[in-house]
Amino acid sequence: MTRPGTGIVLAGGGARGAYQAGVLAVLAEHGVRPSALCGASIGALNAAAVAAAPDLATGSRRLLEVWRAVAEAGDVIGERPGGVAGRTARTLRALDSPVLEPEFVESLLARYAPAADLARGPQLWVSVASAGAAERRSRRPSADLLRAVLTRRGRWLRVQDLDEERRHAAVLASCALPLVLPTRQVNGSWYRDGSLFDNLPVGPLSGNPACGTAIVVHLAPGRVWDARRYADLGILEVRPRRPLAGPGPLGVVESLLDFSPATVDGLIAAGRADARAVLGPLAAALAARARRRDGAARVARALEALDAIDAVGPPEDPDGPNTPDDPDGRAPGPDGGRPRGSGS
Amino acid sequence: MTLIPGSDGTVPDGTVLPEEGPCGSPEDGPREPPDHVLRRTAEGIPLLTDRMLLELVNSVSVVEDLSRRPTGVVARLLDGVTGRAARADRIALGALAGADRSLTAWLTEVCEDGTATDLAVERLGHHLLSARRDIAALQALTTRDDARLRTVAATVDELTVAMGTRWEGLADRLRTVERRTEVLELATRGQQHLDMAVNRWSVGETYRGLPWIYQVVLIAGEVAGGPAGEAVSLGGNDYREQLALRLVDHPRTRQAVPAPFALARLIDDAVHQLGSPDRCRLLAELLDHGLPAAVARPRGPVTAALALAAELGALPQDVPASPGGTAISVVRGRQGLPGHSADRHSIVRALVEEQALAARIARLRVASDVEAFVPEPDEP
Repeated sequence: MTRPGTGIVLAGGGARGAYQAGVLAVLAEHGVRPSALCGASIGALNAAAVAAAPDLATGSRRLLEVWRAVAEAGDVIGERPGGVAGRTARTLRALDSPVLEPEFVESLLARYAPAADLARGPQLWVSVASAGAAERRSRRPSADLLRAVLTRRGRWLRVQDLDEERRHAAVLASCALPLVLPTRQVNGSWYRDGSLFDNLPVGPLSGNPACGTAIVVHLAPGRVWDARRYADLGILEVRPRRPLAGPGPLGVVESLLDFSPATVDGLIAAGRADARAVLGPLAAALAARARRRDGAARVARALEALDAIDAVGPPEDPDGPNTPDDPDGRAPGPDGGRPRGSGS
Repeated sequence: MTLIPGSDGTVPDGTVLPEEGPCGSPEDGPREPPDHVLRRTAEGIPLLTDRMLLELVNSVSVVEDLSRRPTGVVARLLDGVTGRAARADRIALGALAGADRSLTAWLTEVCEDGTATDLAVERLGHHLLSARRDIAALQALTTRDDARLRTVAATVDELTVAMGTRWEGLADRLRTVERRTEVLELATRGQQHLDMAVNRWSVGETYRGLPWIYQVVLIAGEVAGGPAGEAVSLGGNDYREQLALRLVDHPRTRQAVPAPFALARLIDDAVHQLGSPDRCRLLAELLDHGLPAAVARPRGPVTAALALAAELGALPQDVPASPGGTAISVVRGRQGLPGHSADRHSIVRALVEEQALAARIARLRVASDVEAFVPEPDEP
């Protein structure tokens, strides 16, 4: 039996997370009521903003406010230049953007996802990558990052299971971009960006009694991810139909750090369009099926009413049943052989 | 509309087709009621679950997304070396297979639903046929009732005619009885009237001082014009013989006419007995002498002779020596009769008959005048 409830899984992808704000707005338009939210990295931050809201409609509106605030703060790197050198310089400037300051991210969380509100919302799961004490004190962060990518150690944290003062720490740990944002300690362990462990944390929903369906929002097209790994879940994926990053490794890094208003607005619009492209046909199919079943039910009720009328039978002959044409006093039934009133 | 599934988790996984056609065929043995077939078919339709629809839609977007993977040489080489390309292909094929399964399930549901729709239409046809049969039965009942009503109406008509005939017969019989009763009453009253007239004449209450033969004429006219004469005209007993006998046998008659006599002499004596011309004239007028024929009562020859003799007796001068003889001669020239001589029986009988005939003719005249009378429209 399929479990009720819908979970939303938000992938990590730095500044590309604005795309998810557009997707969540369309999900709210379709009346989706999530029972769980899972996120990695920027997806965790987005999920926290939505989970703290009383419903998805409110959460999606808050999330759009978050990204407007982010875009205002990130409007410092100027127009995208054409050459590689210019792009590299712009990317380096982005590293100094206020958006990547820990205090800015913390203030966003405090404002749009109060810890107390997170306790009342749907389940909120974040993926975090483990960062041991030795790694944290290492003087070779690049080597630490490479180690984290190769080992992929980490875990899923359910935010509601944590103390109130540690809930924000769990979300901040999940979005602790390597080399940019600091690792965070939760319950004595140190964690960093969850995308290094599980960038698409569907795992918390598998076997979760609260969820039978998962809506997975990717942040990269052509992602080789097999939904059939989670056989107990019905999965609907929202995949970007166009690349959200420029070509090459530099394009990927750019997409992670570009919080400029134009980029953010473009990502939100792309998220809306892609979500509508997926949800539109599904909603139409569900509505058509519901209409067909309703029509069938109406036909069945009409036939039952006709059966009830026919059960009463034709008017009685006051002279009794014996007539020259019908010596047995029973008119033929509707099939030509079975007498009427003989039951069926 | 919500995208949250789970309300249809009880859907059977397999497709179960009916074991036989919706209603079977006559060769298949006992026919299954169509409602059972429809219900069984409807219950057996494998409903497409929300999850199947979800997977169908998702597989489309997944396959489209994976088909847009990079086509550059380096990217393809890298995908091939890392096995990413093979994984992507496997995922796309799996998504396609899942979509095919969902489509197959959907197609099955649609086909089965079409079958159920066909059965529903068949049921509807049966109901329509049943309704038409009911209508035909009602029309047959109505037609038969119409025939019965016509039969009853014809019987009522026959009864009406028979009752009318019978009623007319009864009315005729009633009229006959009433007529007989009327005649009987009239005869009784006629007899009473005759008795009273004869008795009053016998004791001298009527016609006193008149000659006997004029008394006989007047009393015969009185009785004939009364109920006794009317009763005779309606078929009652004839009074004439009784009256004649009672007058003939009366002492006054025997005294007045002791033996056979000459009629002229008898009339002359009577005119002479009348004395004055006025009395003669009065008596002539009583016998309608001098009236126009249209209003005068018809008179027999003896009565006419008596009236004429009285008129002759009333002449102021040149009265004939024998008014009776003169009158008889005149009457005989007009009507024949009477003879020169008679006895009291024959003369009394003749006078009674003449008065009876005169009364009868007078009644017939009155009746014909009444029948000929046509009232004016504004008369009541």
